[in-house]
Amino acid sequence: MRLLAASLTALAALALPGTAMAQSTTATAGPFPVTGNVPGLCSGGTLSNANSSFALGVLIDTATGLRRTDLAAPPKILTGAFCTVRSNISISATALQSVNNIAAPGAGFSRTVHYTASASGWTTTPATFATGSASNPGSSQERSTAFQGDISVGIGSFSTGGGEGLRLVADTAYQGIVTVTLAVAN
Amino acid sequence: MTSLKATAAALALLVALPGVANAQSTSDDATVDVSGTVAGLCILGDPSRTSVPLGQLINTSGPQVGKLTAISAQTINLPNSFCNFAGTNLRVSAQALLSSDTNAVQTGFARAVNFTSTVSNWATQNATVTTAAAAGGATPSAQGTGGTQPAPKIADLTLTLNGFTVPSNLLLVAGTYSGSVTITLGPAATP
Amino acid sequence: MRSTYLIGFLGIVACAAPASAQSTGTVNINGSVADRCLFTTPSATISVGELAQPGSGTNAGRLDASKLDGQTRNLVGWCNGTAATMSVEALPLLNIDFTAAAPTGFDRRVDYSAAAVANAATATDTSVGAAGGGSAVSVGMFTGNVAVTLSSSSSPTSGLLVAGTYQGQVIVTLTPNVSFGQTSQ
Repeated sequence: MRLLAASLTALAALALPGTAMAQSTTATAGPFPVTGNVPGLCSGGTLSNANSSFALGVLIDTATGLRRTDLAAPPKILTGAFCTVRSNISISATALQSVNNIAAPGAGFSRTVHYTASASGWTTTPATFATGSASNPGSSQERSTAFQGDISVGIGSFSTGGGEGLRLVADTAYQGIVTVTLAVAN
Repeated sequence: MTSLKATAAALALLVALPGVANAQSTSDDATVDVSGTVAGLCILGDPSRTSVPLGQLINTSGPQVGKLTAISAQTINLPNSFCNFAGTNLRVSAQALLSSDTNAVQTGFARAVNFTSTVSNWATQNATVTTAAAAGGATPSAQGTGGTQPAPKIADLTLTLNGFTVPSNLLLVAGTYSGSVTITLGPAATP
Repeated sequence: MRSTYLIGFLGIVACAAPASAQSTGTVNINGSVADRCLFTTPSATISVGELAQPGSGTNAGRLDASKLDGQTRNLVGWCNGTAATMSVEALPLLNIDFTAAAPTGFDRRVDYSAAAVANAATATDTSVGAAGGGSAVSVGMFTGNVAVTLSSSSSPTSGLLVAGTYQGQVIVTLTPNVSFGQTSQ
């Protein structure tokens, strides 16, 4: 018996599609970005003891009627002040003036006590404002980094408005205001 | 008598047939073997979203002003994820959010937000990891591996981000923050 | 030589004398051929490689029917009787590496239909359903190719195919008429 010429086909594995996306035993998803933002923000902190007044007491030497030379008040501390970004600290102040005597006093008298207010602890150079100066270029200082710290606000360098020889008019209420501002720097 | 001899000679030419075995008729079988293969394959489904924007990260007022605000859990779904072979697991790797400002942080500040990532619904033990970046941004990367799934499986996977924290709950420096999460599904045995 | 002359002489003598009578004898020669079928090329192989669809779409990992459908191989055989029949049995491809029940969403089995054509007769079977081959068809006396072709491949749930090696088989049977050796008339 002759074996017929067998046309047995050899292994006929089909060619795999060449352009198929690479399949793999390992699959990866991501990286999924997770994002957020923190705005520039300043917070002035809180005053210690919640006492926001510099109490100077009696302003004059009762023997002379002139301004006391030893006027002083402890500084106020703003605790927990912070800025998340570069900031400017600025200070402004209004002179200590008689509340009830608003007219210009007569000769020999003054109703104004000048002083210098300073905010320190925030910048290398404290911000200062002298109420008797025509200009106060040092009243705004910049901090180049985010910062958290205590700001110490003090007053000093008192002088009598109009001249040291003037006497202060009588009034139980002399008032001045110191304002400290923290702001995000542009 | 001579004709008889001739006849006898002719008769001697008896054809002796070879003995043919009287075989029974039977069927005959032939076989065509058919074979193929299916390669091991894992596919993660198309994610329900491709990024996780958290928005503003800090409180702008109140006792926690400047610090990380409450952030609700964030999820990404990967439906119809599958592996067609046994012995697979999930790996999740995460990068803590870091501020784009790379300067050293001031005292009292951080530039990192850590969080926990969990991928669930694959094996009995979920894949989870919590980043542990330092306030200054060091060591922001972390990864975790889930349990081994012992059979082929097709399932909807869920990635959950939660537990957002800032080291020591410090103030956060201003800026744009970014981190990331990556999911890998594949054989559990290291090759 | 002397005897030849003798015979020749005798023959002439015989012809010359027509009187003696001749007698003729016959010897019958008998034989038989049993009904029989035989495959001279009794095996072939269809290896299709990757059975699952590539890519990452909704059908990735599921049966690619085009791998099996249309595959054909020739066996070679013969049957010497007019009453010969042919039948086919298609056995499904089963995953020999993963023998547990397929998890939900998966299949470990590929079914298909097989057709065998010989002498213009076609026998068919599907691997789906109860075991056992298809009906026998009359193929008659022939010698030549028995072409086996696959079609209609499918998986039970159209699910993902479990990874592994899959093996199945098509069995073609040629059956001659069942008869015993007969002496010719």
